Amino acid sequence: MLLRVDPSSPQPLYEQLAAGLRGAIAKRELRPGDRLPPARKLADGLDVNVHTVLRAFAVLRDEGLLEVRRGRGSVVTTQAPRMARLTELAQRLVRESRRAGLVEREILSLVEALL
Amino acid sequence: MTTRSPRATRLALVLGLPLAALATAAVPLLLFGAQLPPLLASHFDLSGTPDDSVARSLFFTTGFIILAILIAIGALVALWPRPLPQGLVPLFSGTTAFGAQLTANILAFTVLSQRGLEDWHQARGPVLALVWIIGLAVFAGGLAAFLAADLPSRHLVPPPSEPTPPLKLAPGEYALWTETLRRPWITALSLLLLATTVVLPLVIPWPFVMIPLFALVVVTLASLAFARIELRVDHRGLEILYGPFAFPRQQIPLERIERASTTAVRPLEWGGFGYRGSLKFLHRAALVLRRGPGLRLDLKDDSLFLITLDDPTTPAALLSAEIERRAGR
Repeated sequence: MLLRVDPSSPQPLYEQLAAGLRGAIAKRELRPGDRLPPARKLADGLDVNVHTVLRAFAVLRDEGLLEVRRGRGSVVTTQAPRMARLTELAQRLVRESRRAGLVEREILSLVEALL
Repeated sequence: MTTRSPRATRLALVLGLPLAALATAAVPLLLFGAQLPPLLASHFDLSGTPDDSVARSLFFTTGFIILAILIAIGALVALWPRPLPQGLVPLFSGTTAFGAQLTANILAFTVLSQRGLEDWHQARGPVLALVWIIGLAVFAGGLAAFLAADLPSRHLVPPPSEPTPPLKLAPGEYALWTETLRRPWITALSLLLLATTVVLPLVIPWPFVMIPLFALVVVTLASLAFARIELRVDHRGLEILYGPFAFPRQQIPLERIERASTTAVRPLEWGGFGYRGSLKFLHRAALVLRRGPGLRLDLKDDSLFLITLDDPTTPAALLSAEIERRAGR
């Protein structure tokens, strides 16, 4: 798994890191049950603040990809690969829709029409 | 890497360790030699009862001749004027220091345990004493090999491979590569060994179980260390965490790495699987888990380090990028 963080990119650092981890889960480089390296190690290696790493972990926990256990590290959940793929697809849908000039309500109704 | 001069190392190898061994053998003999029976118990059965004897003078003459020969070989290798092939000096220094200290310990134990006896049949063999008889010898051998590793030697490094093209990184961008190698069958083996460790003291009586138990604990820990190996590469270099407790931990800092590349690893060239060789003693080491592609690191002191990996290109490219960034290119 290769994680990259570029401070000169307009995307916030924690989002870059969360995207990297999500991608690794979608590509099956991280599998359910795998333990992530400790936040401090990731922060040192990527030269970012440890809170940035913890914030990325929190984003992935809220998406259901990670189970964050206090003192025991963060573990990839069983449904993570499917959720990671869906999140990536949803993000692409939003990105493409915005590029096409759609506003939030229009994107939502687009999805609702398909349900 | 080291501040010790070859002169100080040679002095320790030629004088320090041999003098310690000589003192171990000679001091008890000078103090209590007169109190020994004319015949000494020289061989014991498993329960520690003596079953053979030898004349006192013959025992000590033979002992000191062996000691002298081992010390002479060790000194010869340490003082050899030209650099010897890598690994040879640590091997000879370690073996001779181990042998000399072991001989000295046996002589000392014989004096200390048989002084004041009227007949050799009353003697008791070493059971618990084996711990210090062997332990001190292993320590002396290990220390000698450790010291001798810093003496100049001729390295045999295979022809350099092309460095892997660097990963494209923006000026302030950092990347981290990590991979966990798992061997489920080694985990199963470790658990089996662990179970044996628990059962062994119930089957073999104390204190005879001590040495096999010690050996088994060492083997179990070694096996566990290869069940799960975590690798990390970032701007600080390569870090390898062995086993579920991340111990031992091996670090190769970026400053030490001259070039990173990919290569094909042939286990036979390394003498099999596992951690082969030694960076300190042989200037060549490889973590060989299977046949196939591997990451190759050429280090600044002409050392070589290899790890077998499914995809060695990404860590090699990241290390190449960080080496370039460090060099300010």
